[in-house]
Amino acid sequence: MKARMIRLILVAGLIVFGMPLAAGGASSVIKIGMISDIKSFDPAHLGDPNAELVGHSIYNYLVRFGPGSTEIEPDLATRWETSSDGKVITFHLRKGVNFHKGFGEFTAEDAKFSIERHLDPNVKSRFLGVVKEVEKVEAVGSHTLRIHFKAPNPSFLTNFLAFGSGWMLSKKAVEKFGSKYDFNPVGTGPFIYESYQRGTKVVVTKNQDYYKGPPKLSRVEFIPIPESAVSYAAVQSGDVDLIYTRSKTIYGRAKKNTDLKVMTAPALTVRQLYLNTNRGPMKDVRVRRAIAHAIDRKQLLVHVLGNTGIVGDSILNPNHFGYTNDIKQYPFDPARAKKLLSEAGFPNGFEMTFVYPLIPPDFELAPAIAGFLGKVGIKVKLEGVERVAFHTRVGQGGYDMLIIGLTRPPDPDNYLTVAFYSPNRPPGQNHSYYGNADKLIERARVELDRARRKEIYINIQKMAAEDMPTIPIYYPYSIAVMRKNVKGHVVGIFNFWDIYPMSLD
Amino acid sequence: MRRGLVRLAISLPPTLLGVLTIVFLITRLIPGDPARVILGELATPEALREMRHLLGLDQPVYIQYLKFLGDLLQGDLGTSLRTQASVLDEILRVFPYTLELSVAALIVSAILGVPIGIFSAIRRNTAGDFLSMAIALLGVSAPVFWVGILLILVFSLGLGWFPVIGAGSHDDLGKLLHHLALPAIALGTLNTGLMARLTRSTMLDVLGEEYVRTARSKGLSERVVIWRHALRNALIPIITLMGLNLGRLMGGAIVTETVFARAGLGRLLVDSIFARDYPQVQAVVAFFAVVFILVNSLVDLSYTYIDPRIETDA
Repeated sequence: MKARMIRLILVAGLIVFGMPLAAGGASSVIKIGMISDIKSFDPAHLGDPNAELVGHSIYNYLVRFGPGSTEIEPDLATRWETSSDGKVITFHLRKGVNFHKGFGEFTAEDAKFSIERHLDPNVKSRFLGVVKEVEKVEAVGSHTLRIHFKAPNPSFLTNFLAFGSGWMLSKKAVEKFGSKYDFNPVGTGPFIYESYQRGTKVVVTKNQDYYKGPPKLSRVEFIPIPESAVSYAAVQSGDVDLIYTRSKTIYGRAKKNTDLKVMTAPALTVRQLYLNTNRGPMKDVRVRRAIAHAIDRKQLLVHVLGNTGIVGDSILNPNHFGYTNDIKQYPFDPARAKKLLSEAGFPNGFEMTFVYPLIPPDFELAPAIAGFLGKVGIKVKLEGVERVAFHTRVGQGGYDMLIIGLTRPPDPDNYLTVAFYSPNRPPGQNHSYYGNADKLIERARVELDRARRKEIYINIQKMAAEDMPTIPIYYPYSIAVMRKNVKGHVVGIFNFWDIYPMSLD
Repeated sequence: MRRGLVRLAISLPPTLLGVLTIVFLITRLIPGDPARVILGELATPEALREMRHLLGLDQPVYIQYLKFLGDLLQGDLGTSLRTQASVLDEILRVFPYTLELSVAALIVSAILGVPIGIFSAIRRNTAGDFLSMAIALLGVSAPVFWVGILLILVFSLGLGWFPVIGAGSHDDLGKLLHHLALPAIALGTLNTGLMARLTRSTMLDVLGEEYVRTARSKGLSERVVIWRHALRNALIPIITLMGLNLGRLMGGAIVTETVFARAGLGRLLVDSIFARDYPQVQAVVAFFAVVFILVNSLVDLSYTYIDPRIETDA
């Protein structure tokens, strides 16, 4: 009996300790950690940066952003022309590009289908608000596509086509899979979708027939790791080769770890305070300017945010077309803040409600900001709300200030329309109830001359810097932490980075 | 045993209905809008209204409840608002991972906790006893996520013996067990402490019994007295604890599955709550309830095997 017990323990030990950890297969297999699981691979239902990350390797676009750039370059469209009135864009499509899994050649019919389906109410596309400016989509022959707009739309390429919303789908595949298409994506990209085990991993494999040439990697596994400390442990141990993060803790540690390398790129996010210009003391611009002077953004960036970005100095992100910081600035100056409050009739300060989502870094930023405001006499009632419930809570009103990070495409029309255009006041996303820039936003939207358009966006920034409906806190970096043997990783300015050129040493 | 089965058959449906009703109401009371989760932050009010209508969420709560009951009577637990897949299919897909983790944690806690408890009882009021109970107290007090991260730091990153994340594959037993080891230890920590303390307590009771004194006076070795006579009688409350804790371990697997990035019922439940996926949340909670009731009933029924004198009375 005793001998049998010992044998049993030895066998169990051998199984547990002795079996070799399966390596990722061949060295051309890379494992990438994702923050959360995928909601859908259907561009109409695109709901998270992880789906964009994976989809970016499966699909192509008509036009796409160049590596690490906000400039558009050809993809499945080799060239394009805009009519003189700006209402028609004609795309000439690349020939001989095939969809995965035998779904045939990519044609203008597929491109037409890919765009038009966003307009179909049964599809329930998240991008209906953007694509409703399209009047008609024509397939002219097999490889020419013509899009007609209701009004000139210079931002359509950057704000729709070059994003996940613009992924080119196989009409046959979507019709075949129907409602199951969310998890049966078929594209023309460098990798072919193989499988998805929810909570475990997504697997894509090399597309030998990719039009730019097959990728170096034979296989990519995307693994959801919800806990950020564990994702860092996983990349340290080699369980994954690459993770993306915005965590200051991971950023700080990874920079010192000699087994890893860290790449950063400015994201397109603006994290800012929205001041409710419709309510109480916030109606007075002097109060809003006082709040801007009361907060030391440099200190916040160093001590709360761990230098994971750059200080905000405009409502636009530096990667937005038309960005400028040659506008009125509000350096940290508590004395000036108190003087402005006094002029506004609040010499002893006032009370306010500050609502923030319970996500990093906001649950650290909010108390720190409240601390700065307390020093100039503003008593802040903090109200932290779970992320999913945040917009419902905000929609109920009753707040003086919010903090939100908004990531929108590099053409500022979408971002300004969402956050500063008066028709989008709550229940929309214009949380500060701002409306002074409406006419300028409308003019810029249809302006075809690039230089004039830029001038309008500069004027909008100057106006916002005077009115202070929002206070930009910082522009976060997008951070990639990877094993040293990961090569060819191209810096990108969005949440997804290009896997196609990557390889493993 | 037959009476026990009849009692189970009678009590299960109303218990389940009660659990489902409570979950149904709670999910609709917490703030957050499933339509907004599905359509995104930039959804227009019209689109949100339409989505709520499609999901039936614009109906009064009592109408939604009646529809829910009607579907339930037809055996339809619904489809996930997120994935459109059958909620039961989603549960059955991940349940094996949670089951294997919970069973492994139970085994680990029994292997560690029972001997610690026996040792402590035998060495009562000695340094060995105090040290054993200190270890048990640590097990009971240490949060699972802290234990999990500590195990990762030491055994994965430090020694490189175990992987950090994942559940392995059901096609490869070795890899499966390799991935299971640390999560099972982490999840089993609390139970180890409870088992050790309970074992010590019940062993002390049993070791004081007359028949144990008789066994010793007959010249039987201490090992035989402990393992063959005393422990068997001490087993009943220990088995009860193990049975009750299997259900609790499955619920507690939420944290372990998140820390170790394992698929499982716990993670499915958390993801569904964050997504306000009401049908999925209801289905997972109902599933936990059924498993809990069945396991507890099996524990009751097992008494008659261990001690045929025990009848499971109504």
